Amino acid sequence: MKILQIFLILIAVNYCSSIEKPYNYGNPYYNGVVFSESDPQFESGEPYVIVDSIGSYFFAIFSKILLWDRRINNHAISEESKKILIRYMQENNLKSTKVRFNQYAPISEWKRLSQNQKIPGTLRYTVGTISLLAYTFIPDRVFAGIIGGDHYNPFTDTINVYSDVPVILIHEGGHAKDFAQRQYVTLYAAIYAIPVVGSLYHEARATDDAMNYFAEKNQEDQLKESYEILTPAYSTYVGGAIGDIILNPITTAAIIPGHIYGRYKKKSIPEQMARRKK
Amino acid sequence: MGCYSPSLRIYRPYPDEVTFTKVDFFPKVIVLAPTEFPEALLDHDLRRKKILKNEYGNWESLVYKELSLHPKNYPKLLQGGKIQILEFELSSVDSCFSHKASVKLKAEYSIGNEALRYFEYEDQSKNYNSNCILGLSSLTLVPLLWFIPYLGFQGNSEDQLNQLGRNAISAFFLELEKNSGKSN
Repeated sequence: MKILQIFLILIAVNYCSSIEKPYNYGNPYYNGVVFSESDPQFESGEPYVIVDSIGSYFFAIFSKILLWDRRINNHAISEESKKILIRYMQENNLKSTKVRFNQYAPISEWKRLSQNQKIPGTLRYTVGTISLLAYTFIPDRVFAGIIGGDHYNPFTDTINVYSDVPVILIHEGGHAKDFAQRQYVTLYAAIYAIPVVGSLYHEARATDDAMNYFAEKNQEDQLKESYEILTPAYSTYVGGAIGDIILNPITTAAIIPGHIYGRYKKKSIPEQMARRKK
Repeated sequence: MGCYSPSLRIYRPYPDEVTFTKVDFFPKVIVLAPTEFPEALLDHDLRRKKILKNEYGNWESLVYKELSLHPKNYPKLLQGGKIQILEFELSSVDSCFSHKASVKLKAEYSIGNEALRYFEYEDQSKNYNSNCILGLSSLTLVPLLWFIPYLGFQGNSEDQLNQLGRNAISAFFLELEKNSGKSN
């Protein structure tokens, strides 16, 4: 119980996302891979009812309960949700980032790893290789929610998503935008790979961007959902800090104050939006 | 922070930007600005001023790039005009237990034969993203787990400077568009 109290205090003091500042659309620092008809920017995996059902109703059940949303890792992304991410990518000028909607494409991903000149080979073929080995042999297409899940891979510059939740899709887009804006992307990717505290800064930036994007678009329903889902999701990083890889008991405990705080904070959306318009 | 120079990546944030081809030169639009862009004051522990290079170009190239990409937004300015950047200063002040980032932009511009107009923009953000707190929180893991998320949601000094700079440039171009006969 004490641990919960500490997390509640830490998050309350800490979770200072502000939606009052003007939103900055992205303008990537580096040009990356150019897409073609045979290799489009946005791809969707073929639906396989049995595989997707096992993934959604067995492996992802714990993540659905934790984030209290049945759409988490449901392997069935609606066209409407896809359009929201596609529009975000276009508006933020992310023209070289690949987006895979519920798709398992290891060969294409290994190719992208070798083609991504934004990060030097030393990092791509070490840390990047480890991330792709996990992607290849423990596919998120099946195991998302128990091992892995929605994520952005900076080493291949690819967004992989499995949840039909727009705020999560935009959060992953926020990662792509954040990395694309960096001059020292190698250093930034290396920090991201550090266990425990490495991803905390990056996750906060992506969540902050998602919230400000919805505020810019005047989408209060999505803002509410951001507080309900992204806040507890972020608290798993503070609590477990390896929550995006493997769930553990501390991650699970940390999510409760995240839910409480997110639901409390969403009540202030009208007030924050009014301040934004001033 | 003493030897650290932030990477300035200041541009006009524009949704769904036209794919960049080349920047045209507009002989009828004169841009006068400090040679280095932007003139940045990093008033941290060493209290010294630094001139930083913007990775997205100096004032002249930013203006010409904007006119090249969105000529329809500036019909009157393209007939002739003059833009003079009087002052552009980004400031990051680290006072051990607090941090303040700010931007100041002053410019004069004229469009065609119209009278000279004056533009001024100032903004700032204050928070606890200081080097002292980062150093202290690094000593044990728990404060670090508190401070890094806080830093992430506020943005470090580099991210704050870039955001403030982009907002300033955006405000300036919006005013130029408004007075250059942009049709909605």
